[in-house]
Amino acid sequence: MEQEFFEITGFLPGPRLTNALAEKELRKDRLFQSLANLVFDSPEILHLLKSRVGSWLEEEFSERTQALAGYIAYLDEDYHRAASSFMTAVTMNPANLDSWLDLAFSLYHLSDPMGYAIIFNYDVFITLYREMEIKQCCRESLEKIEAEMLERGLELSQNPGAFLPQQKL
Amino acid sequence: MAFFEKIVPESFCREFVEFRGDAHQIVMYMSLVLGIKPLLDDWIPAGRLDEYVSLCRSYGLHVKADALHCSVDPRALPEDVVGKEYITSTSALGFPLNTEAGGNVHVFVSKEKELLGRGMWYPVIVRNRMIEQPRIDILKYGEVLGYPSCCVRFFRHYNNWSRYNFLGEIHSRTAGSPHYYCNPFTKDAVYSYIYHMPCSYRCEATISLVGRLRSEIQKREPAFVDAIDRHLALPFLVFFERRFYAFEGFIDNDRLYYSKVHFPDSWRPGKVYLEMLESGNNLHISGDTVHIFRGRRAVARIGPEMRENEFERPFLLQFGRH
Repeated sequence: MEQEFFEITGFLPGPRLTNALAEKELRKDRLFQSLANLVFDSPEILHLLKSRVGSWLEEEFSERTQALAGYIAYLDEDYHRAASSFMTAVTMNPANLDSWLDLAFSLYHLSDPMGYAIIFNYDVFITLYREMEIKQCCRESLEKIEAEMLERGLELSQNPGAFLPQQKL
Repeated sequence: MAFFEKIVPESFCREFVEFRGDAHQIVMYMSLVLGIKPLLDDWIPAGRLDEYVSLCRSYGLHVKADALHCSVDPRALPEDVVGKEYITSTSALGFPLNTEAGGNVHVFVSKEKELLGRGMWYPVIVRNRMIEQPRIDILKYGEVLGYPSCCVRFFRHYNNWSRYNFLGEIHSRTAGSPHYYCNPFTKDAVYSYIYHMPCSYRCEATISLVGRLRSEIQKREPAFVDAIDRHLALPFLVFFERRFYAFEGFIDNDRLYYSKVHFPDSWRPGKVYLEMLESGNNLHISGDTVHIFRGRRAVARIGPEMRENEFERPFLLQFGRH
């Protein structure tokens, strides 16, 4: 996979890093951005990536390849497929904020309200996923988390004051 | 009519100006209603969203409310906001639409309902963290907004203020005389047919796009079109991004003769040379220095030592009608 990917893109995919909330980093993954620049400048590369991603997934079942499959689908504007891949990536590593936001933006483009729910409450989703001992990220489990969040009054619209600075323009 | 005064269409889309209290993006609204521009985004006071949606519907436009944005002074933000280093002077906090927090609703507007889903998330701070959209969404958004693909790709490569004088790059790629349809300098002052940066001041795709738009607006608002045309044909002195000036005057033999100077941009720091330019009535550029005269008497000079950065270089532009 590494060699093939390099031959197509000119760079290596690199390891998948966990962007844990506590580390307070905007994003750890750089692959999505690099692929976006490359595919925007040379759209024909997307066809090559799409033709190979199936075999990469067979070769390596990991958070890294699931995220990569999600990126390729997202670049292809196949947001259903992208969301599905990012859900698998979240299942494999639910502490990784990058995967949660990638999932959220895939749903955003599908005009799915769950996209907004995750964007506005990303930290609550990560925390409740762990607390509720959820084993698989899927539509049903996301709805369970959302219901629990509303039940506990943790949704952002329920307490905006906590995030409004004193001096508002 | 004097230059750069408030302008309002007689009738077509006039309600948008009345709703907003200014004519910001009015030509883009016209383009949307005419079915030329596919999508635009705007910010609407939260308490007036229903009124805005009704107004759009009266023109056959669909609206999708995205998120609530509350403008905030970056200095008022807590130190621990993740991504604070990327925040500009126009930062905002983002909230769900049903939040009681005031602010403005970010909206997408289109004549085609299905295009609303192509709107792009705008970077805002959510729960003490900057939430940015994926890079590919930014790259593709120009075409979603209806900008010519040649201009979108040019923008992608040259809109880097730390490496290029973007306006100068456009100038250097302009073969032939600049066409007034491709004048982007007055877009913040309403007097413009485009809201994108062209890849050339004679970009064929932009000329074609504006030709259709101008023709349709002219059928409905001829005086409005005349006013825009007059402004677009003014001579300009350009230094750098957001640092350019319009003149009531003319260029003859590389010398600009003028009776009045205007700063048409909305970014106030760009006004830095205005007073010096106002002290004269003609100027010319020698090397990288602007020499300003009143009659034959030299009154000021704007030299390289006054530049904001190494890429700032002055040039004169006169947009023609052919």
